Amino acid sequence: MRILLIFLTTLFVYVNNIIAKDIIMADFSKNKINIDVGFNGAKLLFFGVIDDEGDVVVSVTGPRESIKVRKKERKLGLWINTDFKTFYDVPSYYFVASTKPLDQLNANEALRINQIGIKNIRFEGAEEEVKKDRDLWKSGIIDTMIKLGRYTPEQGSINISNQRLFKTELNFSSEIIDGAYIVDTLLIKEGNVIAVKRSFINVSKYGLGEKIYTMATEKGLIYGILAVFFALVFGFTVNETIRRFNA
Amino acid sequence: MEIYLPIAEISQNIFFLLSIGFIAGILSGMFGVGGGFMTTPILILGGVPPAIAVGSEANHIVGSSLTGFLNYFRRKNVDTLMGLILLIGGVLGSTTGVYLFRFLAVKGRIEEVISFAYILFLAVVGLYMLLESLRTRKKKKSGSLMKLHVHGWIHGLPFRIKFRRSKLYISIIPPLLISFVIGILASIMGVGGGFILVPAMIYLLGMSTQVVIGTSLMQVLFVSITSTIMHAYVNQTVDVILSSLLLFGGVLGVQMGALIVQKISGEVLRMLLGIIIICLCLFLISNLIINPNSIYVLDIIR
Repeated sequence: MRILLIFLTTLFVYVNNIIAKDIIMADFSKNKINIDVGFNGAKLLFFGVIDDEGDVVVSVTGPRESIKVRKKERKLGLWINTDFKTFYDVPSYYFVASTKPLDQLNANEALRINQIGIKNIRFEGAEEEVKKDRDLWKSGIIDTMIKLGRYTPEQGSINISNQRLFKTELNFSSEIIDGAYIVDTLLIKEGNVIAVKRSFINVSKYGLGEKIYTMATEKGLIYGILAVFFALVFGFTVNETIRRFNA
Repeated sequence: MEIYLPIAEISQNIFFLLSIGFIAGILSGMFGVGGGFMTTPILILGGVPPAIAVGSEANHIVGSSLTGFLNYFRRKNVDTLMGLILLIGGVLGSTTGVYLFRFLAVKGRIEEVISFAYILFLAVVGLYMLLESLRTRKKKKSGSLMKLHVHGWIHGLPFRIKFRRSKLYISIIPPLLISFVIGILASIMGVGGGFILVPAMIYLLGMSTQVVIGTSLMQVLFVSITSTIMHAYVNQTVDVILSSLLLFGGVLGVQMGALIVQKISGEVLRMLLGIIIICLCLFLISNLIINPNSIYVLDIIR
């Protein structure tokens, strides 16, 4: 299933690249985000040229991850976990910007196929549930993601100048995870997608943060011993300092 | 001012973390508890993933408990022999606890079991400490001070040892048993266990409050060293940036706590700890009753 999906996506992108070769050209002010210890969000400018008239839609999808979802219910006056389900390939981040509100593009089917718009995001999991229950879980996940600030429910705006140049601002909160972020740009005309362009933003850990992360994941034991050693030295030094200070 | 925590993969306010560390430090200096029973829930509420809150908290306690321990050690307010015996029981108990945790987790529904056990424990310990300290205070005022602990049959079991610092001559079986049970609870709840150990040492073993704090800090220090290394090695859940910030806030708090302790008497100290434990208990109960922010909770699987 997954291989088929990857194959289809590749084919889709490939075919679209042929069709769209020169219809959309786009670039970022910067296509790399470094997460260091001082990181508190990033703003990127995304801009490009379209070679035809129409509406531009830009969607940003963060690296997909597997999540376990727990559902709380009130039982005898107490909120307790009643059920849990596992979902796969859930985007960790989602943002969409468009020249017009999505429901005014008159392209609902095309948006659904291309997973544009929060309600069109697709992911797998809980296949044993009937569709109605599954949809409840899915909308629960999406609502929670919005509360966590990972999905942006408000649509961003795109300005088109000279009917050819478009630009939009992409916002990333400090909660983003590292990985490849997919930016899809669609040109929609009379309800049909006439061109697609896929670009990537690479988000990676950097500097001290990256060093700590690498060591913690690759040399856990040494990292743990060093962490303890540092805490001991620190505790001892402070105690000595204050003792001398008081004496 | 925000800082990005590389293992927790979120940003947190520096001053928020420093003040949590400071409060934990005061608790640790005053009562000989690690403070994990209080800081871990606060960190989780602040958005730190639970596993990372527990792992980094353990690392933080290593530093703050050492600072406090050294203070008491210099004043000879540590019963090293008792600490050693408690440590043996604690390590055996927490190892058993890790396996019990896994067993319960496989059976499902472990979270409810933990939170109810936690609330029950806090309520019993907190109320008992509060009532006892009030009674002692009353008696002290009327002048008829009673002996704190009654020598029960349990203290007279075989393998009796003289604990000079604690002024006790009791069997080593009760301290071993108590620390074993607390070790199990501690690893299931993800805390150091000091907040249960301190009342147990006072009321069940009959040690004097002054020695209890230093001895408890000794046990907390070694347990937290072990669990930091285990968490880092097995789960990779120790965030040194997070624990360093807690530590920076904590060391000052520990010193302040140790100073406050010198100014107040044993029963007032027990009363304060009792009140704090009851407050935490009420807070946890309110979390179960008040409508949650979100009825769905997402855990990312790595």
